[in-house]
Amino acid sequence: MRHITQQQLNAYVDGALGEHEHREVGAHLESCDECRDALAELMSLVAELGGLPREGRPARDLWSGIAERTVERRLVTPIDRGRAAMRSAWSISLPQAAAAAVAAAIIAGSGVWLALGGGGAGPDFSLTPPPPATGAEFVLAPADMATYDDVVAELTRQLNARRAELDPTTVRVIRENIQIIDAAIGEINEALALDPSNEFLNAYLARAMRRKVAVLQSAMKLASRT
Amino acid sequence: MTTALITSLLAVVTMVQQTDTTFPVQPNARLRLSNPGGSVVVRTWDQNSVRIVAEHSRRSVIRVRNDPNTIVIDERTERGPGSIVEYEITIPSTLDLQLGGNYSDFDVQGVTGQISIQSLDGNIKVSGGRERIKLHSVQGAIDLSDAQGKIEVETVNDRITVSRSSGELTAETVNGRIMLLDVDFSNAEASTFNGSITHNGAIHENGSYFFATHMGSINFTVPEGTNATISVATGKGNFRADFEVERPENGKKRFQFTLGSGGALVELESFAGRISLRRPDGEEE
Ligand SMILES: [Zn+2]
Repeated sequence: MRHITQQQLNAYVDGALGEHEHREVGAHLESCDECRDALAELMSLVAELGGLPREGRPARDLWSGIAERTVERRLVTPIDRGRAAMRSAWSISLPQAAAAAVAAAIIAGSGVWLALGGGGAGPDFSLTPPPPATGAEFVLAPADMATYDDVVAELTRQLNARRAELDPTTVRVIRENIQIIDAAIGEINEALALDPSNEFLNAYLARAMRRKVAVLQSAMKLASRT
Repeated sequence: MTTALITSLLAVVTMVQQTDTTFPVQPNARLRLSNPGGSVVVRTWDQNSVRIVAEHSRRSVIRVRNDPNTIVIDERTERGPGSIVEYEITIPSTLDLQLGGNYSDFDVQGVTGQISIQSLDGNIKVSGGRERIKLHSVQGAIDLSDAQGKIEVETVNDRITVSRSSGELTAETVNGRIMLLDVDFSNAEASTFNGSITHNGAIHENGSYFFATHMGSINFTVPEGTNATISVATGKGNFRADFEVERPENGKKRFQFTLGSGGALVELESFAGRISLRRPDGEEE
C-alpha cells in the first residue's frame, strides 16, 4: 500500500472509512512511521478542536446523564399536557452499586478529561431520602449524590495535580466560578433543609451540580491543552 | 540612535512574516484550523477558493493540508507549534468551520455552513451559521447573531449575547449575563448563576422556554396575544409583570398561570433575583 492520503487520514480520524479500507489503513499505520506521525498530528489537532473521533472519546459521564434527566423533569409537573406528563413519569433512582460502577468507569476514563477543581473538599450534602416509586415528587437519591461526590472529588484531585500547567489567571477564574456555584449549592441546600421534598429545589440542585462538573471538566480540558 | 538599537528594531520588524496564499476548494468542504494564540478573522466571498493571510513568526510556517473535503490549517516551527498567529481567511460562505484555540479571539462573518468554535481564553464573535452552531469558551464573551439552527453557546466567566437568530438554543454561563435579543427560537434554554437573563423575541405556540439564574434578574418579553403557560419560581427574589396576571394570594414563590390558550411552555426561575414580564417596546399598557 502507498502512503495514506490526507483524505484517507481525515476520513480515518472521523471514523468515516468503510470497514475494509479502515483495516487497510490501520495495517499500513502499523508499519509506517511517517503515516503514524501524520495521524498523531491530525489526532492532536482534532482533539484540540474538540472533535475527538467517537471511539477515542470517553463515555459521557454519568452525572451529566443524571442531571440532564433531572433538568427534563424541571418544575412542569402541574401542567397537564402530553410533554409535561411524559416528564413527570420520570423518577431518578439508581442502585448504589450501579452508581458506584459508573463512577468508577468515569474515573477510569478521565485521563482525557483532565480537570478542574476549585480546590478544597467536595460540598457537604445532606442526603435527601429516596423518592417514592411512583409519586410525582422528585428528589435526588443518595446513590446519585454519592456518584456526584465521587466525580467532583476525582475531578478536583486531577485538576489540583495539574494546576501548575494552567495559567494562574485561569486557575483563579475557575476557582472563582466554582465558588459561585458552591455558594449557590449552599443556598439551595439551606432551602432544601426546610423543605426536603421540594422538587423545584431538588431539580435546581441537580442542575447546579451538573454545571459544577461541567466547569471542572472545562478546566481539565484547558490543562490538557496547555 | 545607536547601532544596537537600530539592529534590534530591525530584528523586531523582520521577526514577523506574512503568508498569503489562495487555493481552490469544494464549496461544501470543511475547514479545520487550530490557532493556539492570536486571532482568527473569517470572511466570505463569491469564489470557490480559500485565501489565507497570516502574520506569524519568521521562524514558523503556515501549513495547509487540503483534500477535496477537508482543509486543515495550522502553524509549525521546527520545534512544534509556534506562538501567535493573526489569521485573515476568506472562504466561500458554504464551508463548514471547525476552529479552535487556547488564547485566540475569533471573528466570523457571513458563513452559511455549520460552525464549531472552541476558545478557552478568547472572545468569540460570529455572525451567521446554519444547522449546527456550537460556540464554546471558558474565559471569553460570546456574541452570536444571524444564526439559524441548533445553537449551543457556552462560556464560564463571561457574557453571552445572541441576536436575530432562530431555531433551538442552549446557552450556559456561570458568571455573566445572557441577552437574547430579537430572537425567534422554538426552543430556548439559558442558565447562569451570576447574571441576568433577557429574552426579547417570538414565543412559538408549541415552543418551550426555560431560563434560570441564581443571582440575577430575568426579563422576559411577552408580546400581546401570546399563548403560553408560564411557570415562575423565585426564592428570595420577587415577581412583576407589565400586565394583569393571576397570582396566588398566599404570596407563594412558585406559581403558574396561563395566557390565552396556553400553548407555549415558559419556565422562569431566579433564586435571588427579580422576574419581570414585559411588553415589547411600544406595547406598554
Ligand atoms: Zn505511510
